[in-house]
Amino acid sequence: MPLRSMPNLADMGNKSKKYSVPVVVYSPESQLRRPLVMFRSMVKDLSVSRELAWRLFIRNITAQYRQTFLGYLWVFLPPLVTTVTFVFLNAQKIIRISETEIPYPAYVMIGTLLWQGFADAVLSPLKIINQSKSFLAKMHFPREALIMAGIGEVLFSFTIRLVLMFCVFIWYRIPLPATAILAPAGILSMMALGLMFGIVLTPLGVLFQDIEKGLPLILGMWMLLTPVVYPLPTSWPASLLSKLNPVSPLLVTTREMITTGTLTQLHPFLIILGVTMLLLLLGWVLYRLALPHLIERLNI
Amino acid sequence: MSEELLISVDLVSKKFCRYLKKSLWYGVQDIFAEILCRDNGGRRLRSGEFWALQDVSVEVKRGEMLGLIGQNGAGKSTLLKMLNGLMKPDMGTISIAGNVQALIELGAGFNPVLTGRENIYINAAVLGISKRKIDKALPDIIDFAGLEDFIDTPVASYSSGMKARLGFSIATQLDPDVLLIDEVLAVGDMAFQEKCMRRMDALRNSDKAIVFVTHSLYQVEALCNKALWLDKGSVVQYGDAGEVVRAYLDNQERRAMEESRREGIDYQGRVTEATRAYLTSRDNRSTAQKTIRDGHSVDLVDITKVELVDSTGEVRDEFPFYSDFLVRIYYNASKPVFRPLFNLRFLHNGRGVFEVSMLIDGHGPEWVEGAGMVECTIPSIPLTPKLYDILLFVRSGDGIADISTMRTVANFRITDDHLDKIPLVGPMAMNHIRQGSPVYLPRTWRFYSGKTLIQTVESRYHEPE
Repeated sequence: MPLRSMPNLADMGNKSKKYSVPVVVYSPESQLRRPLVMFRSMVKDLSVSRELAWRLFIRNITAQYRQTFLGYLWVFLPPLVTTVTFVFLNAQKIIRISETEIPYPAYVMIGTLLWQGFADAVLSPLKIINQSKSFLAKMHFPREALIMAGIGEVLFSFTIRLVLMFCVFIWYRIPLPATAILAPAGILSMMALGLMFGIVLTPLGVLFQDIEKGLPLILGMWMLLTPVVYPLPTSWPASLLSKLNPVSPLLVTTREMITTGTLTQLHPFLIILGVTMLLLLLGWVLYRLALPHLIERLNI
Repeated sequence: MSEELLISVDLVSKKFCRYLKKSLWYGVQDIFAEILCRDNGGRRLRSGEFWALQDVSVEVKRGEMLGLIGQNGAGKSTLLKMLNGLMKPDMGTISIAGNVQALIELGAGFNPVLTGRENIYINAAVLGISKRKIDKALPDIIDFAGLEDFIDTPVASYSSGMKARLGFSIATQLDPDVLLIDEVLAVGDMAFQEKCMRRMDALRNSDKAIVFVTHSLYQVEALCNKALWLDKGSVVQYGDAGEVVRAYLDNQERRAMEESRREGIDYQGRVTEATRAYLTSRDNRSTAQKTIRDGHSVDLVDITKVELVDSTGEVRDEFPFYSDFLVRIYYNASKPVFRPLFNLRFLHNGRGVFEVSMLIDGHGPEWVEGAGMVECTIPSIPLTPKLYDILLFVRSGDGIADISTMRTVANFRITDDHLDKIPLVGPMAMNHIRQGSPVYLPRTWRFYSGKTLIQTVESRYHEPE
């Protein structure tokens, strides 16, 4: 069979007549030149990723805290520490925070839990890829599985932390409004936004460790610029925080869903959600395009 | 069916960058080029880049095994990684048909805290194999790896050999169409290596296509029907495995000889300045000891030059297999020496192969003085194609004292010219004659059933016409 008769990229994933098995072609050409083929393989990879993502997820959570003394307590510690700090600062009048509609400790706890979900999602893609470097460099598997396993871990930690949230609700006898049914959607939107940032930063973050070192710093500051431990400011210029910070409307809305039941930021919430989904899709494409280039530079 | 082409690599090239910082920056550029659908410069190398692979084309059909050979850094693993889709080629096209399994590095996917069994499931999921299929293959995998007693203990407690066994077992038990194996079999013990070779042979015979990186040329000759020899990213030779292995070995020897030249002995067997300095300092120490022990002073006979001469009378350092061999030793005796005895020891890889010695053959002239020359002819030297060193030492007439320091005076190579004058029909003939025993002796094997001779296998040299 002459060499030139090999099917080209257009036949990728199809069963060629000459072959009893599917053919894959690797060439320098950008996958973007054949968007339909790429989209089809993205969907296919996503569906075959599930089994692997599940296994990786189980592996990661079983292995994660095995070498710690406090074990799963580490999941609770960050929001607990933040809450205690701000409750203390507020009680001592070191910082002045305007009146909240529910008891302040509950307010801070809910805020930090939601923020933590967002922050975990931002850090997740880079973290799991850096963990899996040797795996990536030596095995071919649908790369989506890593991201999915990462999301699984974020959700898992969040679910465990919900215990704290329940305790707070019971302790302060805060009644749940009907809008609480929508809360999962709010939480998932926050995570989607975080994941979008995480994925878009991944290619640069794998190449340059500056991103990994800088992210916690930025997230720490970002949290203070988000109405996590204080209510949404209404006077200018502080009110800009809600206009320019995409996390604000999501966090505020989600918190309102489970506390007051009055959604004041629904419009920005929906717009940001829409944009997030679009950017998430583009981030996914970027991730797929970038990975082969990243792998050859992993230096393993 | 068996003619089906499973792997087709068409003029594939790959660039790498020498410097980390630049490489990272090029990475950013490449990703942008990809997003903007621009090409990545094609033939042009950016500063600091080199071709890790250049214009490589190979084809592997069902039922074929391709061996990749070459020095470290030749591009073998790069090619394998591109075949596995881990990296994109910078130029050219790779087409792979069917389900691919790769064993790029041992235990790459193993998590040390999980048990062998859990790791099998993870690895299988990585390879995209359903749980049902793996459940079915599980007993075979464990059995082949020979890990029945350890399968439920954490992989952290496995030896590297055990990991190798598990990795190979998983990759090969899952019925791939294409199997890519990097140099991973070197870890296991001999028994397991043999088992792996048998398994690979069986896979090839069951219509798989296998690509195989190894440093063991025996494995290439025994298993592969094709071989690709890469050097610094370029194809040196591609074709029949036996032919490529032969050429590769030939080249390796030539290189080794050049290297030993550079280190010490120059073309005509004279010692270079650096080596002489080294030898002098070494000799001074041993001289002092010798003088005390046996009262003779060393180096009464100074060796000025050693020449190796072929049957046509020409000075050479390469000789055809089984050809006439002559050593010419030029010496200078500062004082009259009584019946000096010359000895030549032939070495391969530092180990003695044989010695031609006047300690056995008897004396020459009674007195030797001033400049002179002695020749030693060895007809049909029975050495197999390899590199050899000649060690020369001269003893006093009574055989007791060294009167010239023992040293390497020449090295030479037996080439594979005329090698075809002996029958090379065994399955590992080419490797074995070149890498096995340094001495070739003609022989005859006779098989008897009861007292009747049923077959004769004869190996001896037939003169070239």
